[in-house]
Amino acid sequence: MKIALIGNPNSGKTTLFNALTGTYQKTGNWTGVTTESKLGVYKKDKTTQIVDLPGIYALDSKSPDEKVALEYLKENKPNAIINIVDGTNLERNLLLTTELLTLGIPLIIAVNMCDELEKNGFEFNSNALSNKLGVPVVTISALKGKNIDVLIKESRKLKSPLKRQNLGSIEKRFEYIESVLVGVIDKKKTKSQIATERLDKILMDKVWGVPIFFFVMALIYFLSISIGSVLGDFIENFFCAFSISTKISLDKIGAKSWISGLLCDSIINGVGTVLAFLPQILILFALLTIIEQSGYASRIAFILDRFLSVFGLGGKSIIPMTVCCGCTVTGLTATRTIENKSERELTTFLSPFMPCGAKMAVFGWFSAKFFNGNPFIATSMYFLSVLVIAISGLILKKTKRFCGNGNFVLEIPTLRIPSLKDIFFVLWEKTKDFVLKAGSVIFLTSIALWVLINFGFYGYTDGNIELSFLFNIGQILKYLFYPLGFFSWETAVSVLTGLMAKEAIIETLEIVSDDYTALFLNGWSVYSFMSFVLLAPPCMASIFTAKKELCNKRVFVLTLVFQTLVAYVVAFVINLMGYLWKNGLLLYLIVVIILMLIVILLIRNMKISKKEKENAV
Amino acid sequence: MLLSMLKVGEQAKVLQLNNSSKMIKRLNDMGITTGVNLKIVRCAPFHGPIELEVRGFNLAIRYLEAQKIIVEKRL
Repeated sequence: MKIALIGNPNSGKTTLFNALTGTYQKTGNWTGVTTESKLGVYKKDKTTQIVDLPGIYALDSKSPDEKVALEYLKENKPNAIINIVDGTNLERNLLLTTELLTLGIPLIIAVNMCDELEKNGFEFNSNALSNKLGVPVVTISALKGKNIDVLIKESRKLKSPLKRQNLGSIEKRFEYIESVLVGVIDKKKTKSQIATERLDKILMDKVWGVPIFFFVMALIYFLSISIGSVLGDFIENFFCAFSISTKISLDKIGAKSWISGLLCDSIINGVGTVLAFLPQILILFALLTIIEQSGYASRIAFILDRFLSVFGLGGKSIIPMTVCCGCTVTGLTATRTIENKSERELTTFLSPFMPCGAKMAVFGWFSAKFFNGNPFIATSMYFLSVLVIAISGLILKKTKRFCGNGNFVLEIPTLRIPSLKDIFFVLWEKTKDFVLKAGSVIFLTSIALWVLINFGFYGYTDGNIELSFLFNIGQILKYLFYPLGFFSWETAVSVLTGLMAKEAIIETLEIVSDDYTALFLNGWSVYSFMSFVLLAPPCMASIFTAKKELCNKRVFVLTLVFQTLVAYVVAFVINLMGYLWKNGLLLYLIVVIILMLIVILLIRNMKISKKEKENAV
Repeated sequence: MLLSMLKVGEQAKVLQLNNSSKMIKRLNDMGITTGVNLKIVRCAPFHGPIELEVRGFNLAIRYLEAQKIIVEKRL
């Protein structure tokens, strides 16, 4: 038996799906968290399949994620539909129900968030609703798992209904819903709706909204780096001790030196270095999950929409971009909720510039090694990425492809206190992902690096690194990065491994180099390297995701070329500034740039006044 | 008058939606239909989005779209 979950976006389908199947899928308090249909099995009876579909407002929607739901219903006729409706927002939620009733598929209505209604002293008459609509109605709380087994039991009993007539125009359908709702529920605001109104006055204030947003994002970054690095040191020390003790015991039993080298120096240390960043990434994800779950993300979209439209983006671009601060792969899938094609593509183009968790691990390492652990260095990367996104947006907006500013309809959901259970689940999933990554990608790069270091054109190098393959590869590659200020072969090689996963950069440098200070010319070139890591095309996984989301090979190739180019130019400029600064020329350069700007403005003004004169004539 | 001309806190009844048919459909699905009553909750500065309260929930649309919705102010 196959049951499909259908309802408006943000009505709690995914929460119900998770409760029914006992699995975990990402949830959030913004519309469009689910962008693909997901199949699961009811945990109490394995013969019942449950499908979670993206939220839709109506049956013939045009947005790409909403199309998934409609196509699914048409192609795989499910045995029953559970129409999940938000009990605090019945009027609009039932509009979809009137359309679903015309399909002729057995249907049951699950009124979600009934605990919220009860808490607020609402009386909800489910019998009246059921009688008026002619379908069974069950009140549930998806979050607390209340009544969900009754729901499945009832949906199994459903019989094939008669196809109903369409009610006609949208106005008539809303009129019908209004008449249905009389005596079912009273129209008044819940306590959390009133609290939301009060909080929104601060969060979405004309003056304070934007500073609050920047403060929150900087705080998130700052907290995860500062607390995370303290906890990370524990993990790193543990692996260090583990590596040394393994080495000693291996020596005792008389193992060959290359075995203990491979196991202790490469694998244990490599995996340990990367795992040390787990606390940072977990804190980051916990805080970002709170932003998503509470509903603050939609507020950010509202306050920043006008501002972002200057750069060819829209308010909804901020959700993928914020998520990209955690992980570019999940961030890019979130772009699907943007209806406007040009805004959607531009968001996919630009959001990989955001510093994801893995990049942050790299920045944390660099600031610890080169800048005395100054947390502002890593936080400044966040501002650099915003600056680069803004400038690239301004430039790309001038191109034909990204010029169209489109429509924007955004639901502002009631603010919610995030559930600890969901945050815990996100952290659990991330830990699993991260440990798996450390165990697979990082483990394999460790071995690959070991082979490349210990073997060369003349066979085993026996510790002489200058005979190794890696050294030779780096020797060729390093010339590419000459203009950027990091011209050691070690850094060149790490950029290459960084394509697999950004964490591999730290791992590579730790393995191949003993003296980090020798790798870079000065602080400026370290910063130039960091900015190159920030802006260069991210890891393989996200490159493939971008390809999938763009659905257009030409645009995809363009994205990669553009991102590499931007990374190169920005790193070059930073290095150049460092060079000029060292020679006391930076000030002159700034003066020259200002003079040039004045000249350009003057010429432009003259041209305009000339035109005006011509017009006057 | 146009929806974009209303001030924060004012209420109005929608008379006509002028837009592409796709956009009208989208607005309709979200509850903005002719005859519906709505209230302006807040406007973002520099002609940014406008937050409306309609059919018991909150919705934001852009200024450009609000300029294409004809309303009648309710007192």
